[in-house]
Amino acid sequence: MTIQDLEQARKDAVAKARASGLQEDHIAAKQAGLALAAAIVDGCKLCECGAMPHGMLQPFLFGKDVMTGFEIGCTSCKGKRCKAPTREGAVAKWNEDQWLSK
Amino acid sequence: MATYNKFNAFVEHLAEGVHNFSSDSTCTPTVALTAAANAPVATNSVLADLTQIAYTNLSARVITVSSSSQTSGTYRLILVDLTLTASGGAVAAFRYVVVYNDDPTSPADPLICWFDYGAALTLNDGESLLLDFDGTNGLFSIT
Repeated sequence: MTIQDLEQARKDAVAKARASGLQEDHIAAKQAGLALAAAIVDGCKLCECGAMPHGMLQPFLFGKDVMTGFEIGCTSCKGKRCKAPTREGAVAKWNEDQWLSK
Repeated sequence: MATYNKFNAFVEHLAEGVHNFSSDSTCTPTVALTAAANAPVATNSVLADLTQIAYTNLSARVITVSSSSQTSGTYRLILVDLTLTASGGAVAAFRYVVVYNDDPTSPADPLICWFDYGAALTLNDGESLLLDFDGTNGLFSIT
């Protein structure tokens, strides 16, 4: 599945859980989000803390245009995050320790 | 970087099961905006306590949950960044960005936190403001 497919699957799972209210559907919605995150970080090295980084689709501003890009970061270590317009670019930045300054 | 400001009632709401941040299917983190003259205070509890701006010409204010999990006993709520865009005209001036949960009904729309932009901001037609919620540290953490 592509990243776009996984994002649509996540949205579909959320809508299904909202409609049914069933616990199993809520669990499936959370898992769909985790599947998307895992696909984004495919190819990333483990963080120095030993954790697998977390991947996200993120809006980017290019002038007045809003585009969708990628962010990868460690949810255990402060400050280790990187962004790029493409998934491959974000993975490369992660693997090269090119952290986002903030 | 804007500083996170906690509403006092948020921790009580957390402990008493008002919030379930598991995923977008169980919560709806949403942004509310207030003008410089209507600053939030820590004792505000629900959305009705705030005086919001008019949202005419503003894009959607709902935030997507990316992760709700703990590592080594520290919980973090990771949110996707949100872009607020003015379309069709300017949006009323605002200074404070408040995050609340639109799902709970008792109490309705409990407040989570707010950020101070530092000065009044007006989005003119076609302009955007990117709210970066920090993908690693999360909106908030619980230890």
